Amino acid sequence: MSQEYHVTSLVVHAAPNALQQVETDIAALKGCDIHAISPEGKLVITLEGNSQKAILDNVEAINALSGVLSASLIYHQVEPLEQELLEKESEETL
Amino acid sequence: MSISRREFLKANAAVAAATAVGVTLPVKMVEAAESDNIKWDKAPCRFCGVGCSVLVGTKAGKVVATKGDPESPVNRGLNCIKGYFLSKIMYGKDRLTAPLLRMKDGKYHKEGEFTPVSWDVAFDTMAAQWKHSIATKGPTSVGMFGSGQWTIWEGYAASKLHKAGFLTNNIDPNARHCMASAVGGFMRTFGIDEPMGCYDDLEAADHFVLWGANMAEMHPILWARLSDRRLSHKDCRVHVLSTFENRSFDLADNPMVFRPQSDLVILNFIANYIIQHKAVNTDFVTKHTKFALGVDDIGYGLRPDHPLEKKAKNPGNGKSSPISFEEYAKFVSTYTLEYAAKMSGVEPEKLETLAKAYADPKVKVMSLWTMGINQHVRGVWANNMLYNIHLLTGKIATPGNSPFSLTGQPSACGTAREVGTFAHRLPADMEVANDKHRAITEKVWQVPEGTIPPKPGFHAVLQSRMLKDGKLNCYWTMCTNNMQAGPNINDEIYPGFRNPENFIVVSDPYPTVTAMAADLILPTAMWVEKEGAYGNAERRTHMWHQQVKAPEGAKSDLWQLVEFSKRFKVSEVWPAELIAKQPEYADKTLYEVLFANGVINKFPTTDCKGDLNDESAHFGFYLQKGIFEEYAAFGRGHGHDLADFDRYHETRGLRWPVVEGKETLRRFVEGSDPYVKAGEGYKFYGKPDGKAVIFALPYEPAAEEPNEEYDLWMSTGRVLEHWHTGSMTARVPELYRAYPDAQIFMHPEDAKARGLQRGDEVIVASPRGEVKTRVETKGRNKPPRGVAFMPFFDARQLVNKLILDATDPLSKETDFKKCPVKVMKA
Repeated sequence: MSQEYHVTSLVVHAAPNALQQVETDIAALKGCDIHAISPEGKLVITLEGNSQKAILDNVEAINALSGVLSASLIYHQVEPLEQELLEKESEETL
Repeated sequence: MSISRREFLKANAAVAAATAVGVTLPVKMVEAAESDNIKWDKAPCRFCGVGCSVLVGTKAGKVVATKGDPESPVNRGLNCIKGYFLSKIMYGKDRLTAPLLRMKDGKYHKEGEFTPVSWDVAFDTMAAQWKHSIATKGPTSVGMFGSGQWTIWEGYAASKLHKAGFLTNNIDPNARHCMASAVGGFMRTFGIDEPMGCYDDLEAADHFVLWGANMAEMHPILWARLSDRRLSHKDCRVHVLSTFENRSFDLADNPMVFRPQSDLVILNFIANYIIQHKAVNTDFVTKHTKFALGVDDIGYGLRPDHPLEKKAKNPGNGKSSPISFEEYAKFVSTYTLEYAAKMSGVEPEKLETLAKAYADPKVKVMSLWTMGINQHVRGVWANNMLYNIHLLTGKIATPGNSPFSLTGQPSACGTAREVGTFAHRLPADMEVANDKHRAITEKVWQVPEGTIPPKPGFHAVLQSRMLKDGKLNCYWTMCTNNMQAGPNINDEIYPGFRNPENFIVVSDPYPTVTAMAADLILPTAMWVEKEGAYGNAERRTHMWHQQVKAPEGAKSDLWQLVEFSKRFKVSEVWPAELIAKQPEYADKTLYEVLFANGVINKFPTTDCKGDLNDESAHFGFYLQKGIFEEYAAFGRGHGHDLADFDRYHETRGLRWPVVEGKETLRRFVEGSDPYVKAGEGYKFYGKPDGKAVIFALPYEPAAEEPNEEYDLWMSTGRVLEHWHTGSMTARVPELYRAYPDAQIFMHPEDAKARGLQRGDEVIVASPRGEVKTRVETKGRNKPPRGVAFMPFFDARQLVNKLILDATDPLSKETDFKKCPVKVMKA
């Protein structure tokens, strides 16, 4: 089975009074990393996953979080995964 | 793929996002994100009218990645979800690569099967149809439906081919369905098209007012800028008006849900409030404006025998007569707070808060609108009335004071409007009905006097009617999908496509609903498979180079138009009297007269700085540059100045007028606009006396209102994930899966009253047809009782067939927002 590796980055703008909650909620999402937070309350986030749907579900979940004002997608890249790595990676948690 | 490879890709993505917000990442992360043999070049996004710039990454002849362009002054490195999946729009599985002609027994047949043919067979068949039609029924029997997604040169080539080649004005863009009322509003109030302000006003305004626009979903990048302003400027407030609650309400300080069509009442109430509270900027109003009473009872742009048209006193009448300020004040005096609250259903205190924002001289207000105001049977009036309140207070053309008409398509401004691809227009805001304008155009085009017909051609909705009636017989549509986007599909569009008297050609990269209803489908190269230029909503012209080859067999719209012109000799399509004025043209082809005319073919292919340019390679000269320079001659020195061609490839676009190399941020105001002289302060130079017009216009009802049987108002529109009819976005698996099927959004009580639950399959019906869909009562759009919303991206649910083809009688733009329907369990 051929599968793909997807990586995506977003800037999420949170309402100042909800920033901490948004940070906690996002950190809890699978495949999600917070790389930086700007003084204005913008979070630099990456999402990764083996299926396209996993990433999109996370984007929608972030959009639906209370306190999120906007989520802008910045970067997107897809690469095919090779079989042996797929097997290896399936044991890891992405 | 190794783990370090994955880390590397992740670092790349993170660095791009960090750059967009100006934060620094740990050195380790940045070092990881080095080049990856991907070639990056800029291009404007293919979708909406915001005009974001994206960086397009190509590898081995294919687009593999895209990212927000940090150098773009529009999006500053950000992308919305659609822009972000741009790399995939060209690679849908059903991409067309050969012309498809309906054939039976080896030749064209209206009821035949689609059969792959060569471009020669396709164009020979087409040309024979066109020549026969022109010879037997005259030039008004041929026509074209074009696009606000055409590049500037495609729109120009199409317009010239029709108006100077085939001698018909029957060319209209799909921008008729989205921006015609905005154009009408600008021309009527200011005498010149397009916004005076620009996106920089988003960082300068105190209050924002959204008139029916759901920017959070439809203009997400501008929404991100607006959100920034709201949170970083303590006096900033956001007023949101809509006929249903949507995602933009999340940021609203003053949310207002109003009854459909009552926006006209609210607008006149605000004008009245400004006058009653002595908030008129008398100095500005006296020096720079004048007042006029518009003709009323103007009908609904339906067929002349429709009862509503017969009932109207002044159908289609856009005239007006001068009045005084006092007469205007008296006219709006009946639009009181109580009346506005009663008509709109909005709480009076909210309306007053809104009116106060406009009236307070210390508050800088930016008004933003799109389809809610434009797709409106009184769309031109509504645009006029919005300018009224900015003009009465003098809140216009200065930083943060900005009535701003947003745009839906990437080049509705740059191509449809500025090039003049409408049935009544010529380049640089000129019109076919004006003798002087035709003479200027004929001179630039080097064609004899009398070439361009003086009578406006068939506009979009009229084209459908004329196809059905058998008066328009050869029809070519490009870069648009009217069988899904247009109104009243069953009664007024489809019958014309399948009328045995007609030959229909559709150019598209994909087999859209429109293409499948045609007689000939031409496979089209798209976006970065060709060199292009777009003009966005803030007058920004921007360009891109071709970055990949189109699939073998697909050709750009520009190639198709110019190549097709080679098949016509002037003597085959022009009458003898016209040829007699320039007899040396008789044996030339339209290609030689219109394109290889000494101007368009004067730049060598070596002038092109891009790696690829298939059109120039084919024709032997730098076609795009030649067309651009001939076109730019119309506007230079006339308020529409464009820079030199090459500069647009070097920059992230420039806002016209570009005079002495400098772009213009705000028009009509001294110090910013080079056309306003020192000491003039303001000058609305689109009008001969330099004065903008404040119009007295009344509330008039929608064409149809809910009744006992069709008891809900329905609006159609877009959702974030899809763009228009989904012909591109529905082919991106991620976007398709994110929002696969259209739904009807309803109030839970309205659903309950019909025995329906969330997720139930239902029939939505109007007198013109029905669609099957599912009920959504908890989604992102929350209509009040009595209102429903349904997106139109889903080709399996052609919701616009329910819409009446009622238009604004002045702009001829359809009202897609107020259709009475009934909803029943399927």
